[in-house]
Amino acid sequence: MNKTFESQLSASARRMRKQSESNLSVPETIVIPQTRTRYWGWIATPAAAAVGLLIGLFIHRPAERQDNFSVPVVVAADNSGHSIVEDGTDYSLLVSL
Amino acid sequence: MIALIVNYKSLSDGQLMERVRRKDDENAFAEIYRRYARLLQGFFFRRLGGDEEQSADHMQDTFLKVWSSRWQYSDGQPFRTWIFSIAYNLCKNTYRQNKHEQEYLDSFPIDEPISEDSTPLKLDAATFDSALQQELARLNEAQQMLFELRFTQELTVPEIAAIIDIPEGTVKSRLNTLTNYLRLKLKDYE
Repeated sequence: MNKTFESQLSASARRMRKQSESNLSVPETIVIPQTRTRYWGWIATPAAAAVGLLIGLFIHRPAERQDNFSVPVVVAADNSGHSIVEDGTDYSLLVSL
Repeated sequence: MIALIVNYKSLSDGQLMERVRRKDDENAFAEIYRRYARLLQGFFFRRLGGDEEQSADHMQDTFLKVWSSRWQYSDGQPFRTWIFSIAYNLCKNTYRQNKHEQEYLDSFPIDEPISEDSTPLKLDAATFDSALQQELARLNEAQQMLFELRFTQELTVPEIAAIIDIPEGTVKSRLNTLTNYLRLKLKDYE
């Protein structure tokens, strides 16, 4: 008996809910406050600064350290057209005088 | 580059909320809003005296609270209970602001006289709804809230207990009293 009445209440409440909600004008979207970047901002900013510093140091490194990366200098060429460079490597296919 | 397309509509409330919490996923939040906005606005509309503007404001406040408290949501926690707890507390604060706190009483005015000579009425749904609506209007805020959660939102006793933050036994007892009261009042419409 009581169970039946509870079902009756539920059905009635459902009808009333449907009726009241159907008449409501619900905003389609909600404006979310600006998303915080959590801890990434605290990591990314110093990391970017460190990378920038390293790049700067690399570009403006002391001149003597650049010798390790110098291109071979052609000092002579033999009759066959082969180029002779300082370290004895034959770069004829690349450079010919 | 593999693009991952997430079908938000196929995700459960809990899965959506997990994405909101872990990834600040605004699309997941939008899907939650799509599912619950009307339901919550209706809840506030009925609980706050039919003020549509206020109910829309409260509904949006609830969602802002969900967003700002997303860290507090724990995996596996029933989402419906969680969001209704927020809505319930907002309602309670409004009642307090409106100085209706005293309406949070447990007693029911069940000793009101009921006319013995009331003639049986035609039992159609509309008549029952109308009579029920009248009786609900006479209940205090706490009783109306209980009815709303149990019968309108169709929440279970454990869910209601978690939302109102009272023991399940108390919820059962209050529901029993409420149902008996309404049954007595609406006996002609059964």
